Amino acid sequence: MKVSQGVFFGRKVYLYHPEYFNEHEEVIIFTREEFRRMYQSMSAQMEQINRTYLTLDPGEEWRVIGVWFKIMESIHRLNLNLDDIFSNKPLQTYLDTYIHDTIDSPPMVLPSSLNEVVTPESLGVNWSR
Amino acid sequence: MKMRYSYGIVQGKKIITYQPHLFQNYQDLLVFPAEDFRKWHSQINEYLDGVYQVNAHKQEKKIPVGGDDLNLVLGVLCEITLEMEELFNPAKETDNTYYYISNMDEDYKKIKTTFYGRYRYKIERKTLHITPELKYQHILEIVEYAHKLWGQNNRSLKMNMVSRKE
Repeated sequence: MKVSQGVFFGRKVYLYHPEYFNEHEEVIIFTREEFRRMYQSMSAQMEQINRTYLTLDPGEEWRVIGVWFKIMESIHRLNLNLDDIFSNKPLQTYLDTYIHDTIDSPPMVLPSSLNEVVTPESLGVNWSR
Repeated sequence: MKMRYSYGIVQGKKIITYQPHLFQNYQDLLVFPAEDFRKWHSQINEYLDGVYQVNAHKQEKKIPVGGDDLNLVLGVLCEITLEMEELFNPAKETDNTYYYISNMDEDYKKIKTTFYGRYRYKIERKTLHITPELKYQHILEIVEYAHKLWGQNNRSLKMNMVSRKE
């Protein structure tokens, strides 16, 4: 997927990589911080599942049920994370708030080196391979 | 507060957002192509529904879960990991030939194994509502207990003194 970072200013978003998108293409915009939270939490669940699985020896059939419940719990959390994206329900973990500033912002100055590409690492997630 | 997201449309090098009030000036944003992102979301939902189906199937027929099911689920999870890793890969084309809409009953997605859920009614019925009188009673109980301990201490002291005298 062609993902670009952007900066919000005035009612518009200024893109780091405008060449990724076609004219009049529909896009969906998330704040980087919120997306990072969701993405990191999902990756943590995946890691948890893998670790749970590693505790299991191949011969131990009788332990499978116990591991299964633990994995289902992680999957449930994974599912909740994914549902949070488009649901209208308030997030349980969402306690931060912000104050709306009424002062006029200075005119938009874009830094000259806007070329950072989004990677999982830049969001704090390392997929171990 | 729900997760902030807005659709928008590309115009030249900028994007016009439909709900600009959600964002603040100079806020860092991530911009995804809407169609591709919804496809990615539905793809992962499809995998997760698959896992829930395996779970529900076993629970309804009361068959214990075996190693094969575990391997199946881990295979599905591998696919999810791949999908998540490839999210920011610009070279990856999304397959828009189909789109998954989950019509699974929410009931299957609930966890039914936790003891709290099963016995919640019994547990919650037994919790007391704490009133000022109850608090006062509690303090009195502590004082009484301390008094008792103190008395015991004294008695042992007396006993000691008696034993020393003898």
